[in-house]
Amino acid sequence: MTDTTPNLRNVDIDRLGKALLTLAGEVWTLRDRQRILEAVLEAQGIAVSDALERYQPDTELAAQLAEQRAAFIEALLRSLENGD
Amino acid sequence: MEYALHQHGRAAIEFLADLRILSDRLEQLADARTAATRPANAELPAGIDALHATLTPLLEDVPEFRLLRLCRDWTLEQHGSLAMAAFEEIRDEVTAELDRLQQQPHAVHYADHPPRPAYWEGYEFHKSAGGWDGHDYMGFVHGELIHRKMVNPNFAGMIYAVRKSVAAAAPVTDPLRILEIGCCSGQYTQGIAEVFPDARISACDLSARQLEQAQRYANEHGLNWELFQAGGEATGQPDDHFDLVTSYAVFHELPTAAAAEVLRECLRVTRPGGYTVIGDVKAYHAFDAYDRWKNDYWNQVHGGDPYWREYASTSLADLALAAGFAEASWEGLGPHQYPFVLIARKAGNGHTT
Repeated sequence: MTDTTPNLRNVDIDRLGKALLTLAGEVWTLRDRQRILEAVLEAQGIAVSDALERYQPDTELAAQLAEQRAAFIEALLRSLENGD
Repeated sequence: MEYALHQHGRAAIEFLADLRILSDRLEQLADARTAATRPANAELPAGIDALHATLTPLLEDVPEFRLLRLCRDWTLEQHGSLAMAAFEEIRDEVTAELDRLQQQPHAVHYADHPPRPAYWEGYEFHKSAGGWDGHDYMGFVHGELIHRKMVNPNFAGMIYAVRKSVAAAAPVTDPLRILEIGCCSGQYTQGIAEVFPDARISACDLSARQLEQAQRYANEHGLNWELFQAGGEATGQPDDHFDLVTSYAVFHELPTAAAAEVLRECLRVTRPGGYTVIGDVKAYHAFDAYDRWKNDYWNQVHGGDPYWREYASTSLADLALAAGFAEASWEGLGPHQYPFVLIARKAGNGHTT
């Protein structure tokens, strides 16, 4: 069975576009901040790019990230929900 | 084996897994939004096509439901390629150990001409990019990155206990020889080994890459598994050889004709008086009408599981009896009736030869 019913119909396109722009803005802000952070640290003799790549969060940091990730996803879902 | 994902792969996998879990609340919202307008379960039609005709337009008109579908479509379509990308970040760090674990003592016996049934060849299971063999380390990608890090969290970390419960349901005591059909990367094999630590376990699969991951697990943990490449329709094993023949989550990937063929092969290799025990997803008759529609909608229609409906609508007990088993039951385990388990006994009281 092939179902081609669109998930989001025309009425939702504006909302979707706004959510994606919000997300893109947040992603770029983080990319910008991360690159600046690496540059600042490298200017002080601390090469962190590789260390960031390989860093493994401990239990406490992993829990913080999980909480913040859940809030991030919830905000994204709310922005896509009708009537929000 | 120990390994650590890099930041991008780790964060991307965690995002996908959490989106899958957190978006589930949209399903409850859609249920609640349609509770007053959809027919009560007793008034819904029994047939799946009629259920779709009644419920699909109703639910697809609900914004939360369409958003849920968007999220689930996205996670299904992305998870395979995302896992392979995460693997590429650590490839240079893990392949030496992955290759070392493929050395002796336990080898995979590859088929000279492995069968490629139509239900398997080129099939992107669960919409997962690459199919079962589409990556040189697909067993690790599927078994570790997809199953352990993406799928297992969606089952509240219980997916391995569920598998093990099927082996524990087998009415056998101290089996000497066990055959697993469709072992994939060895996750149910681990459960079998835990329930029956003294048994000699043989396990087959069509996928060489998945068998290699099972081999790595066996070698790492000192488990004496005989792993060989074969389909369940023709295992090449001796007649009347195994005290227990078993599988988990294989039959919903098979068309009914293939399922019947596999059961005939199970009967052939099960010893007289021995058992074939098949665990898989819940049968449709065990759902109320609304949940049956949801199960079909999310798996058959949108889950990348083309034989789900066939499996869930066909009594495995009837198929087993038609194959020649003397007794067969097919029932759900526990209060949620999940998973469903076929327990089929072969006539006779012979002992393992």
